Amino acid sequence: MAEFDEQYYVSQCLEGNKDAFGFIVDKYERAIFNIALRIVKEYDDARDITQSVFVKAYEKLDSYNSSFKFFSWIYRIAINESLNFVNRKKPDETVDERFVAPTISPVDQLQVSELNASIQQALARLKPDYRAVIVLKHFKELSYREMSEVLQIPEKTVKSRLFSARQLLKVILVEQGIVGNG
Amino acid sequence: MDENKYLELIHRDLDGELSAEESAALRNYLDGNAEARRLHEELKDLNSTLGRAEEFAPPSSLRTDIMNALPEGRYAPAVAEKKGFLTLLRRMLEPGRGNQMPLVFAFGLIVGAVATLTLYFGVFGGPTLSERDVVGTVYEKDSLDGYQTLSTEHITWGAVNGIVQTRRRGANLIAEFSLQAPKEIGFQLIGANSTSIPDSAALPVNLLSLNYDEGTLQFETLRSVHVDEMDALPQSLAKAMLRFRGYIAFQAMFSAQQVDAAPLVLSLSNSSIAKAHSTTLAVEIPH
Repeated sequence: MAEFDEQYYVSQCLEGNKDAFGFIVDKYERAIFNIALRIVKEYDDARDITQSVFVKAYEKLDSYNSSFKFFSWIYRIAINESLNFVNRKKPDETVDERFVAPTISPVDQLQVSELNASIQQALARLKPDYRAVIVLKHFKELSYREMSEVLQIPEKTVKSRLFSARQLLKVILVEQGIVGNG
Repeated sequence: MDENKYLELIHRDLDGELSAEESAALRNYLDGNAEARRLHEELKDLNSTLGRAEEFAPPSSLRTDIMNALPEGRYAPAVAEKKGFLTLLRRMLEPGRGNQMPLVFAFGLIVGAVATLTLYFGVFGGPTLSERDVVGTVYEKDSLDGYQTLSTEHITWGAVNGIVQTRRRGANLIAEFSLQAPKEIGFQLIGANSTSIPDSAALPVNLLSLNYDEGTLQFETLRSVHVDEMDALPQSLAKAMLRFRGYIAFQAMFSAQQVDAAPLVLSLSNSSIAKAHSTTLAVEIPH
């Protein structure tokens, strides 16, 4: 079975074959939707953001540099769209705030496991930048270097942000009794 | 090493990013520090917990909505593509597009018939035919008087280059191949149509003859090749083999009547067995 070749489908799109973009959507739709949902919390918002990510990716396809991994490029769009959405929605959120207020997410209304709902609620209490690094490391399993490419920040900053985010998430989940406190 | 440094080591350990030396240093530190051990265990538990989280399924209509939301005309079709689907098919089957074969077959075969010419690169790269496998007839090159040229495709595949022209005269369609290769090369021509091809048949129903100018042309025993896993493919395929070095020109002739109302697609491909990839050029013979 041949590996999925994004470069080929990108070139097809650039030659006017719009349908070729469907293969890229098939490959990344689920990943992008989950990145967005983990960051913005609301199911419908994640849906809109996912659509927006793919439309922007399509519109900017001619600026994609094929020397970089395609997933880094489209994940970056997804992270930026999600963070921009959160920032627009909550302009009063400050960078110094350790936690944001917990919200009742429509995710709770979905048929998801109790564990998943708890994780989602815990993530919602982290500030958006922290959610982003947790998502990339723990749900997309990116390396520090890959996270650095996606977030366009130095690896040192990636580690610092990730370690802080993880520490806070641990505290929240210990409080919830999801993670043992020793 | 200070406490913050060990905190970083704990996190990097969880991420699998410690060197052996750093890992040993961390073990020593954890052995002598209960508080650090507790933190390490909690973070390991966190890692494990997050790892058990399930992905959320996107809405089923999302893909359709995304495709419908894409702007029209953002990228103009390539100029060559405006002439037909020849270029499109060729590009779909450039090196590394092996999994596109079913798509191209489906595309071609639902409208008529397909002939696939496979080139095996390398001095000894192609299959060897035994005398008893060789049947069929080699014809003189057909006169091209009265034929209207329909399309011209240039081929440049590594060591092989040349041209394929499609022509028509009345009910007859011709695809003429003129190819050059500096070293010996093997071709496999596969003709296919929607009707069954008996093992003993000389040629596929819609492939009337295969002619040549130079080189050695051989027909392998035509036999049915059933491809059960691809619904779009015909019930059978038949193939002919030729090998050459230098220059060769030959024609594949088809009956327009038997191709029915749909265009005939002639697909020329090469594959390097050593490199395990294939390239295909598809040539449309329109009506």
